[in-house]
Amino acid sequence: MKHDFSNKILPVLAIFAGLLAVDIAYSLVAAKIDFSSEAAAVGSFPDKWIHGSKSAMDNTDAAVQVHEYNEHTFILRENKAINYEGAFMYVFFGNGVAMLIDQGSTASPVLFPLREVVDEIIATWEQKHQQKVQLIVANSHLHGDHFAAWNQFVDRPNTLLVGLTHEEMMAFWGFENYPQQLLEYDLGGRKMLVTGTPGHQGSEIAIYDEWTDLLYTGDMFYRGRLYLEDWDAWVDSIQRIYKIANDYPISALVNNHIEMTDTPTVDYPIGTTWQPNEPPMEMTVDMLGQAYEATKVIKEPGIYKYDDFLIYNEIPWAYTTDP
Amino acid sequence: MLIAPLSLTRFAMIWLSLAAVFMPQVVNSHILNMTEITVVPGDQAPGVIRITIDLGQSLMTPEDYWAASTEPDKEKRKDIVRIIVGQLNNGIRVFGDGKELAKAFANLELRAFSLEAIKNPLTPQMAVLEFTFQAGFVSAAATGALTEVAKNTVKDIAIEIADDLELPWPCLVRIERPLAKLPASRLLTEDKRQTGAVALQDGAESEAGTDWLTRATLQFQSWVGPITWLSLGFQHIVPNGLDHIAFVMGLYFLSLPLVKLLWQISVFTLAHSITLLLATFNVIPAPANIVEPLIALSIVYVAMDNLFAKRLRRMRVSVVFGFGLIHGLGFASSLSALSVFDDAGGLRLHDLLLFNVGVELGQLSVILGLLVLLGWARNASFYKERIADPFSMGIAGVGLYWFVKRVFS
Repeated sequence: MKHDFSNKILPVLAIFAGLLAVDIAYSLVAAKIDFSSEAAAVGSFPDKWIHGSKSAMDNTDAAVQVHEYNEHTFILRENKAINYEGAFMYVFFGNGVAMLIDQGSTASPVLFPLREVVDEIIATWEQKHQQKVQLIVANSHLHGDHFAAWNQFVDRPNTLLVGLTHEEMMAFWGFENYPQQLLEYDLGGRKMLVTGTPGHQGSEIAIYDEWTDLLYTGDMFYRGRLYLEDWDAWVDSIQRIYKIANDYPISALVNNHIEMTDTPTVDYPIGTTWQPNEPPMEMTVDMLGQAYEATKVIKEPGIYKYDDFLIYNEIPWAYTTDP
Repeated sequence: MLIAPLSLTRFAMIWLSLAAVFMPQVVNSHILNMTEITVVPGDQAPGVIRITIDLGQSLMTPEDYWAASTEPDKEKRKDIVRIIVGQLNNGIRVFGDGKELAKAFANLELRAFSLEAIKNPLTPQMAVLEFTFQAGFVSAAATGALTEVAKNTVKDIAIEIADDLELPWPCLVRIERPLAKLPASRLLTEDKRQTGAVALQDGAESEAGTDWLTRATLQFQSWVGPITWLSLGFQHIVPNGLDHIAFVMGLYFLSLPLVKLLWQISVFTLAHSITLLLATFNVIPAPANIVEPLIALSIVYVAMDNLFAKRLRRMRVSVVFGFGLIHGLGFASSLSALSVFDDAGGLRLHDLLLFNVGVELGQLSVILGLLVLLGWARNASFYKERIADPFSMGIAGVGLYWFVKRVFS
């Protein structure tokens, strides 16, 4: 019996123990990231974003500026010398998954190699955290300056493209009652709240990230000209995200563009490709509060100036504040 | 829209400042003057392709576009844009099942606030052109005589933009799919001018745009539909069913004459067929959290039995039958991801049997593989000590590992 144990059972146990040890070692190395902490994960914004140049032809800045807000959150900006929109894009990481929100204003991978940049961010993250991630290509809303480079991801392996129709967006997030619904979305253990925010565009969403306490407001609220095609819808949207901002801790509001100068109420002219005196992109709940108050007093179409944003309420372009 | 090289920027800024004074129009920023194409396949009516395009910034001069958009006479307006309509008709091609569909010009809407606005690329003045085509789908509600459209039912639609047609890029294509859950979206650019075939129904395989091998496989499968179920069953063992492979290997390494080995396999087969059928009908449950650890234990048992048994005991056959019942529940839970029921809820027994036959072929192929690799040594004196026992130890160790993993995961 002793002979059987050492000759037959011991090898079986040794194989079992070896496999288990390898499994445990791997799971320790590739430990899941805990996104559940009560306190907001700390992050930082750059002092100044790259903001174009006097001569776009001579611009030598990167086509895509990559800013690591924290190790699982990246903010990207398209070079204004490539497209005046200078759109911001976001990469949020969860366990086993990354989400790219928006794909900029330029289709050409030569001028605007967004896929290459995102692939590098993901490869670096995967190596650091010993996890393979699936990429979700999503959009804040359906305007062309936010999905022009979408095609660069069509043939990317291990990638889910949400799609560029209203119906595909709604199906992905699980909206059954857009825009009123407040949805919980689990990005690999990273809890997010998603709600509809039409007004600027009829498929827009806002996202609250419970891990960083960032509230992402896309094109419906940012430092610039808030172009509103549907005032009533925007009023409801502002009220919805203002409620989120009051119900949950907020570290900052983040969004898609900067069009204001650092002088209150003054914006850069539309089409500007050099903005040396930009204010920060991030905004505060107080600023959102001003928009909330504005929804109570504005009754007519027109341009309404506030220190940090301008409301273009269904107005003719002739009344622009551009010089 | 890309801003022009900066040598022009200063000029553009001055121009914009002047234009601001003269251009009454609704604010439309954050929308590049990109092109949009919407395809609505017909049901009992012709299909429609709707093109929204900034003509004054692409195929027409701003002056011509302004003249056309302000022309009150419909016929004269059509005359002005006749060449453009022809260019779009020839340059934007619609395909149904890979064949180009003839289009007919149907409607035109030219929107513009002012010549200055047309000239300004930041304030797109969009034209909408509609063409019809005689192809589409047939909905379940379609009754009566087949219309021209119904006769030309297509499974997929594709859009292609000719190389010599320059549009304001990118071009967002939306294809309505009334028989599917969602419409489909594709983005076309200067470098990618084809959508590829977009199936009009969910789950419908698109054949165009795939390689010849895939097309040939799909064609073959369409001839011999049931082969799919056979291959699904086979794939459930090889290569996807590592635990089932381990179990069958466990049976093999008892060093029995081939006939007795096949007897064990047959008993196993009979048993798992029974539970597969019962679980498919929901007569018995197949909870994965119980079934999967038991499958792992069955692997440990047969492998350990190999190490200590001198011959095929009757009890082993009974135990193999019992384990077969458990493995059958495992097959059933994977089969539940597929559907062996038709739309009316009836069981497609034919498909279920083929799945089972596929499983058997998978098991036999494992045995065959082992015979090819190790069969030459089956009668050698060293076989048990040097080959069968080490393999059995490895299988038992792996089975034990799976058992622990499945219990605690």
